[in-house]
Amino acid sequence: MSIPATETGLRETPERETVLAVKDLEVGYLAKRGIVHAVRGVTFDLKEGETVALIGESGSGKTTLGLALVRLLPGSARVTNGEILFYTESGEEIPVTKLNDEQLRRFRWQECAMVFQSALNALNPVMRIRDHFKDTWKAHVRANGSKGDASERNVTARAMEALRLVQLDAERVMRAFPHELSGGMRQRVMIALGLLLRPRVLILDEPTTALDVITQRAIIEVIRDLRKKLSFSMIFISHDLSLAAELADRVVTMYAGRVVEIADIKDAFYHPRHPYTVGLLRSVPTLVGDRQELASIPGSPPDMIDLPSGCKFHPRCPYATDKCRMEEPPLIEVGPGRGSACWHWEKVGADWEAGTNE
Amino acid sequence: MAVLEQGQVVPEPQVGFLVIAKRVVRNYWLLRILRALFTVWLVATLTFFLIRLMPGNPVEVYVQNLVTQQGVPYPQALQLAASLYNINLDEPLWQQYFSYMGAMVHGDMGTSIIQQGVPVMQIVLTFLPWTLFSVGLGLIISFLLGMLLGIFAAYRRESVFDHFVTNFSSLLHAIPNYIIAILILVYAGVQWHIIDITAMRGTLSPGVQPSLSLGFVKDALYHAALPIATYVITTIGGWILAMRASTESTLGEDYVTVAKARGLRERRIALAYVGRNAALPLFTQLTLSLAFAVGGSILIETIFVYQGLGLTLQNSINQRDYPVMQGILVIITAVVVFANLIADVLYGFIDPRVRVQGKE
Repeated sequence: MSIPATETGLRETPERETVLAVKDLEVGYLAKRGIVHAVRGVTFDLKEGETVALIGESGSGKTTLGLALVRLLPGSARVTNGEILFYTESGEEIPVTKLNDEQLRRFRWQECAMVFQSALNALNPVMRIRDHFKDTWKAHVRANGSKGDASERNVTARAMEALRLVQLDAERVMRAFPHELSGGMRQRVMIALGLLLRPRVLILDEPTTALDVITQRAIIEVIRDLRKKLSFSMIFISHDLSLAAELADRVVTMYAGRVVEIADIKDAFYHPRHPYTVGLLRSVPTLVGDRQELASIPGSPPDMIDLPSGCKFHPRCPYATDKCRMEEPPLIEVGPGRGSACWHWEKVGADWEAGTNE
Repeated sequence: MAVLEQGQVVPEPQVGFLVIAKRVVRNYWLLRILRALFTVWLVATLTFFLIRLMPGNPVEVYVQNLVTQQGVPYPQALQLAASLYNINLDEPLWQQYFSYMGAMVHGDMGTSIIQQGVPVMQIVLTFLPWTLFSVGLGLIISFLLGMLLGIFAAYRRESVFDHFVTNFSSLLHAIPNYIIAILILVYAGVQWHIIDITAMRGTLSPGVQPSLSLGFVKDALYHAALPIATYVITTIGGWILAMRASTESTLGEDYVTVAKARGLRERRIALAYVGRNAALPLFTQLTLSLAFAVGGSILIETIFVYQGLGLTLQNSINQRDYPVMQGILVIITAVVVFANLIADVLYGFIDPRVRVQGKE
């Protein structure tokens, strides 16, 4: 069960509806030295019921991208180009970048919920868990009037159900204050809170980073379990390829604010076509297959204000040629539904296949 | 640790007193009350000896008056004085101290020297409510208004409103309260004739009796207006600055970002998520400021001739009315100490993280 999703047939098929489409999105932060180009022309989409993993090092722009999807970017950030389109169950198109404050408020959590990496501090310390659920419920249900009524009993029942889904003792947790719960429990509460309104999309931004290994495991199990029981699409942001492997159907690899590779989970793992993905795979040990020498990617992520010319990965890339130094490669289609932003993807692929077959 | 100690069956071979002592030490609130009583006792003792170190002993002055002006023989004059003040002057100071303390435990703080025969307790009870009323109302207004302005300033960081409020707050914060009181008196009262300071003197207009009528409340507020305004003006700057800083750091908390992500309404976030958490550290300061405000009332009440405890204390110091001075100081101390104690209890309700379970 290490890669379950692909085996259940959740591959990209043409008839599956798109829930979220990101088109040529650019986000920059205004800094004293200049503009930090955190996200530079990212395009990808999310299908119904699908899980996409956003993978990349710290500073690759993956969290910025996640925050941009619900427009929670800090004040110094600017969306300079591109659009984010969200499709509701009834087929309505929501242009997230163009919503006004009230429309945005209703869109958040109702259509697209987000679980953050800061599990320990995500809940208001002076409020009981019960009141967090009530607040969330009241903020949306009363405004719409469509998703049921805001009566006390209704909220409690829904909240309890959500808490049981994440395998918590609902009765006790509802009464508790955040400080009375462990980190893992708090993160489960956040996931339950995220599912309260049954959103179409759930974004998980490194949901396990603040937790210890055993708790991480439990959270991943909970998420996997939920994916089976409920139908929602998921964007899983992580720097951990092995976690992504357990949950994702597709992997979007990001480097220096750009998508460098989009591939099916199996392809990303077993047939990478970008030297950066190769580097990431070589830097983590595998449980299956032969023991390999672990290799870290030389160098460090680029300066996001003063980016290198051409392909942004070229200073760290063993395949770099003059062309790479001059010209930034677009996302080249290297197979059905997959792309790689590398001039030498064929050579990279051939070398990888040769390397693993040795 | 408490759980561990309760869970274990620890053999306790100590004798009764030690067991009780241990229980007392472990009971947080009992300990807090004992500590509060200790503070009151300490202050009572210190003031008892300190005020007797002040130059100009009124008892001697009184005795001298009796001897020189009325021809009363010296031993008889001493006896007269002793019976009046309920102090045996032949006793060494420490014996006077013990009899004073013994009486105080029974609620008897002696009688005034100047208003002969009037119990100190009666004087205190007459004037204390007025001081508590004016100081308390001033503090509450200043606290609430300051928090509100502080939140606004933090929400509109770097705006004109923020710059104005912040700079003005720093200015107000730096001016001592008696200067403000004098400025009000000189300019608003004397130079510009905006307010009738003579009519506003005292605590009530002549003929108005304490009752639960609107007229009484209005009259009480009218007379307390200037002291209250002074307390508000001099303390609000501190509250604004504290609340602004606290709000600013709370706005950066993850739970605020998450609340936005949850699509909560902006007003709900500002009140229940930002405001409530930002206000927590200010409650601790509120209890501290109470002590300052009560202390400051001495000068303010004197300036505005508001007949509260502060003015009475000022008069008793001028007249060297030892028992009244002593009594007022002890009562003020007790009020502040127990206000702190109550604030601690209330803090547990505001912040669930510090709710005490038999331990600190």
